[in-house]
Amino acid sequence: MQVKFWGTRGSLPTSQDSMAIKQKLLAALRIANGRNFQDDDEIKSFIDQELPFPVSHTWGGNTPCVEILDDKSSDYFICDAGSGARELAGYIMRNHPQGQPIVCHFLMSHLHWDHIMGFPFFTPVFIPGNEIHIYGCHDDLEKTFRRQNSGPNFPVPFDFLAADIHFHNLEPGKATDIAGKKVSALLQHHGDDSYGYRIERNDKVVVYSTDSEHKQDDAKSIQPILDLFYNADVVIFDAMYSLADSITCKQDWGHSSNIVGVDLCHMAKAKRLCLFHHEPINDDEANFQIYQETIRYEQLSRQDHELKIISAYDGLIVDL
Amino acid sequence: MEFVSSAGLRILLNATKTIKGQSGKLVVANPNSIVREVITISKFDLVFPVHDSVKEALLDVSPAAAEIYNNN
Repeated sequence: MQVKFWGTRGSLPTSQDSMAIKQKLLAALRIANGRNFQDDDEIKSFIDQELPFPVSHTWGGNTPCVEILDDKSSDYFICDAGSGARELAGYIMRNHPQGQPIVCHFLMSHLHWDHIMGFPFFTPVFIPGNEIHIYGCHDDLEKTFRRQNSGPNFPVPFDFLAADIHFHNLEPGKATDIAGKKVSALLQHHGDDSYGYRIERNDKVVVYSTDSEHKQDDAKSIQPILDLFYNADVVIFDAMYSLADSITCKQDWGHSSNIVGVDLCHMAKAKRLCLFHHEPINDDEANFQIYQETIRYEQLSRQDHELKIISAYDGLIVDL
Repeated sequence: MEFVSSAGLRILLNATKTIKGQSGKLVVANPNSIVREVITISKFDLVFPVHDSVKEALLDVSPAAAEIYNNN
């Protein structure tokens, strides 16, 4: 299995401005220090091996959209339809075999704006013969998508979408087969509710747990989360705020922190923690600092097993 | 204290609130390097003051207590 991140930002799409790009160029040229390069390969090697990550890369700014791929299914399995779904649509339209219908399965954590805003721009929904399945635990799943594709939100009404679109209501605690994957849902603490998903195929487990605040009140309240995360190959985790912010000034805003992610993943014996739903005000330097601090906290708190730390960015592919 | 986790920091936050409600102030004195690092990573250094020594911590909350501490 592979996990491909098309959108990793929380709350609001976030673009870089010219000044941020100039700062990266300035830093790169300063590090190059007048060096001559023989060819493009040498330049690429310099970029990949000698430049700090926040100079050579960006986290990007699209809101949540995560694709889970396996070599057994040609269907597209997608967690959430944030603005990253527009990028994914472009990729599908460029690469999907011509003449074959596109089948997509959207698994919705919840229906807040940042998680659905890419759907009206998801090109396959406009093409007859394609199949779009939308899964979620919220009663108003279909109503919310229809409302987004209506005035004054968007000029193209839902019924104009030519693909064959189906809505499927999931029940937390009851496993469902979606495109050959076993999917289980868990209610999470978030405004208007959100749901975390455990997605299993053969011996691989991906957990998609975004927009979730963890109160850590007592062992009993933590256990369902530990069961969701148990022995997962990767836990995609809402690490939007620092712990201090998430339990003081931003308490009950429905988000969590990097160090709670480490503690829960250690307890659940997960293999990888993927920081996700990045705060829109964070620039690349800030996201990099959080990533490094999380690696350090994992080292400090590690007891019996190592947890690999990943910070998701738009375009990242994680092989499981 | 050799280590503090996210759950431990929550307990310290609750203590901070309780003590503040009684017009008091919670400060941390002379944490080991690991605890200090966790406090920094979690941004709890913005929640309560962290001092290098008990003497400095006492000066922050009660100069009178700091004087008694110095005299002993």
